[in-house]
Amino acid sequence: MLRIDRKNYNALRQHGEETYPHECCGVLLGRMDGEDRIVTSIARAGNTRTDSPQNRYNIDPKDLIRIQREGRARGEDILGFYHSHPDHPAHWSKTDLAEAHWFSCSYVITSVENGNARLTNSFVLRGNDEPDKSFEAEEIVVPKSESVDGVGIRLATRDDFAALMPVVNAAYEVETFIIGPRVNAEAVEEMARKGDFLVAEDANGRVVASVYVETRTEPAYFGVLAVDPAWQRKNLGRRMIEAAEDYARSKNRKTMKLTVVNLRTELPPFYRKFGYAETGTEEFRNPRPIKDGAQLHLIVMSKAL
Amino acid sequence: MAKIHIPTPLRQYAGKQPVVDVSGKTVGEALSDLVARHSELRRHLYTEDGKLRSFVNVYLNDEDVRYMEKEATPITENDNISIVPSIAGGRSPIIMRSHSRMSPSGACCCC
Repeated sequence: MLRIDRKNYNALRQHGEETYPHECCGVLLGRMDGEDRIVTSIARAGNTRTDSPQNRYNIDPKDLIRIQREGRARGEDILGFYHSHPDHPAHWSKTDLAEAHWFSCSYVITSVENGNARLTNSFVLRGNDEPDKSFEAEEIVVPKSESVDGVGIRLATRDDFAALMPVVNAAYEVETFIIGPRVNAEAVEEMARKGDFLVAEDANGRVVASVYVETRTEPAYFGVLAVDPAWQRKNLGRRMIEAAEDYARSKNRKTMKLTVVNLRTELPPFYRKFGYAETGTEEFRNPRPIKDGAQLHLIVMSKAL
Repeated sequence: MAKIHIPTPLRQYAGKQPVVDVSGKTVGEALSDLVARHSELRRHLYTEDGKLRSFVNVYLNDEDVRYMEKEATPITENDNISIVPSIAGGRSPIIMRSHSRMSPSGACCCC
């Protein structure tokens, strides 16, 4: 099993998006824990195959020596390597196997379609020698919602509705162009008929953040992202978004959509950081009254999951 | 004595050590000393006719010995030799076309 934290997992996938349509490559560093590989850092490497970078990669051994030396200083070992397959499945090719010589190391491959990272798979090089070497599929474990500050994220139950409403309404007070609270009991019930709420609770079981996700049809949708003002600026918003995306992926959704009110000009750049791009606009259809003169519409943003 | 850094996949054949002290005046002598002390390493580093395997890169400090004097490259006591198997790959199989096959009219058939 390969354990890697979300930050490094996202980073190796993003590397492939940045080098698209060329293959990216890099090194996985960390330590062994019995049979498991625990990745604690990744290091980007340059692809020396400038003659054919769209379907070949090669890490300069000189880069590797430097990366190894720097890793050693941090007490890290080389656990394996990662590279990308532009517009090609996240599976090892004959070339990958022919050129693999680091036995017991993980080879992580990400398919990048049209510039978007799709699947990431890992394979361990088994065998003792060239004639009998083979790749064996390895499970990648990316811990969900690491318990930083003792905060855990889970699916909400009906019992959480009363607790999440004040959190949502406090977070949305900033939308002064709409009159009245963001949600009431009836609105929450209606949303719960079409989707699910995820909540984050602190070590005392108090709800401190929530997000609404629809996963039953394509595209998936998330909205009403709210973090208790006292818990903002602690990356909790990021964790809620990632939890919503993971949840949608677990339901086999391929695309995630969100909408933001045009007057919230700070939001599109915020969501762009998470890989969302503006894909259109929609009418603002909401029963709540709007302040006089406010012209509202929704900006639609999307991302491939 | 000079040091040879052993890559992770080969440490099991070098008594699990990441670094081995070796004696010798050249890279070749240092490697011979290494496989003399750890004979299991020989087949992983060398082909049957005694040549270094093509995917085994040997670095003296930070330079590839292929661009120096290969195994005849001289070394000193404080040198660090690194064995670094190649890391490479790609998404399609290698397609070898034979340019020596010509169609009767003399034109190359693969372009």
